[in-house]
Formats: sequence, C-alpha cells, structure tokens
Amino acid sequence: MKAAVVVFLGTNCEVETKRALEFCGFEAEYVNFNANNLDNYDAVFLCGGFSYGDYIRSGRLAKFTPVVEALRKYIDKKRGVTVGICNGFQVLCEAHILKGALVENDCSKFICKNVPLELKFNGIVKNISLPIAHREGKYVCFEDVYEYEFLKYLDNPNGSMQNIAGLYDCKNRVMGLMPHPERAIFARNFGYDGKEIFKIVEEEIKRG
Amino acid sequence: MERFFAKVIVTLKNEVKDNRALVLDKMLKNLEIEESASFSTGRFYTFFVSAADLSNASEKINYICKEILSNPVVEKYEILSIEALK
Repeated sequence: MKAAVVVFLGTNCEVETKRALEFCGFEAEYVNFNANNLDNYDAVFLCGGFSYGDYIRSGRLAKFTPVVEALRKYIDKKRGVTVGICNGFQVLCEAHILKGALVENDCSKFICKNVPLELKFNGIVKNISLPIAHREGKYVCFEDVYEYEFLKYLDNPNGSMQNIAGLYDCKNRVMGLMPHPERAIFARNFGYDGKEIFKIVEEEIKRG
Repeated sequence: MERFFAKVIVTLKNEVKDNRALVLDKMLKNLEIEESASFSTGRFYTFFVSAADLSNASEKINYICKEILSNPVVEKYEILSIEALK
C-alpha cells in the first residue's frame, strides 16, 4: 500500500506521519503542494501543523493549491482513501470536501493533551486515547452528519457539536479527525492507540 | 478598466458561538458600563479591484468574500462600501 503525505508550506507533522505510516506497513512518500496527480497512491494523508500561516482561518488558503485540486479528482475517481489529520481536517472542511467547519475552541485556548475518545467503526466500539493539539478544533455543522461520525470525544474538550472528533464519509472514502494518531504510535509518546486509525485506513483500502 | 475600493466585514453566523463577543459582554457587565452589550466580533478588510464597471466590481468583490475571506458554513460577510476611484 502506497500513501502520499502532502506537505503544504507550514505543515510540520509530515515526518511523524510518514514514520507512523511506515511503522504500520505502508510505503509512504512526501508529495509537494504543487503536485497535480495523486493516482499512484492508495491513500492520501493531509497532515497536521499549519498551512500558509493559517492566515484568514486555519486551512483556508490551502484549498487553492494544485494538490487539493488533484485531490478532488482523486476522490471523484474513488481511487483511494483520503485522511485529514488536524490541519488536514481543517483543509478538507474549508475546501468543502467534508461537511461542516472547525472554529475556535469554546475555551479560546490552544489545547494540547491526551484525550479519551470513543471509536465506532464497522460495528466495533472501542475506547481509545489520542493526543490533540489545536486552537480551532471545535467542529460545527448545520447539516445532518450522523452517518459520518466515527470518532467522538468522551469529555469534549473544545465544545464540538455532538462531541465529534472525527468524521468518515464512507461513500467518498474521506476521513477527517482532529486528534493526532501519528503521535500515538511509539512507546515514548502517547501510547499505541494511533494504530487503530491506521488499521481502519488499511481496511478501507482493502475494501476498495 | 476602473479601480474600485472595497470595505468588507466578516463575522460569525448567529448560530455559531462567538467566544470573544461573550467575553466582552461579560466584561462590560462586570464593569457596570453596559448591562447587555450583545457584542459581535469579526474581521475588517479593505482592498482594491480592477473592473469594467460597478456591477463587475461588485461581482468580483462578492467572489473574493465568498471564496477567500469567509467560509459560508460558519461566517457571513457584509460589503460596507464600494467606491470608484477617480
């Protein structure tokens, strides 16, 4: 399985995302923001950090890059699975690839901690914990997104609507989540629960 | 082509909680300056566009507001003025 790790100007989680993917059995390579074809990849990861200084709002300017245009074609063709982590999730929402938007946390502070979550996927319900690190991570949506929820906060640290921490649009195979699974892979960090997310991505790629 | 000068304000939609506004409301209440100020916070932009006429300029400004300066899911924008430069 080959995964693309998209690097925008300001992305800063590409190294750990690539490392985590390789640890989970993927073949991963960096893809620059000006790439215009993603058809060689089974999965595309938009990773965390910032994009273009997050000017105007988080993820706003990245939607105009050639790689996001290529991503739209990739999704239309149903070529593979798209995953947006933290800033990547914000980019997916700003580009209207996923429903809703991410706004400032209710506490107006940057939250950086490990949080308990409920993972619900394909009939499996599991409690896991993953680290979050964001200031604009409160998910809001005024449409029905019930079918897309797969990851929920147990203590809702940022005020997200319906405790949503992550969404998965199974029709288009697009996933977005605020917690960082790539930071919870190696023992020295926040445990091993990040593997659960990469396992889901792997299953979805195999499902075709 | 003429040059036009636009003034635009972008604020959160009413259904989205405006944390900064709530803090300001509370502060004014605590200072006994105003009991119910109902603040609304946002971002103010000014910029120039080139267009054939006012109608084209308005179209261009609306596009900039909708696609770049705001996210229609959570924000609304208001064009305060469009001035033709002489």
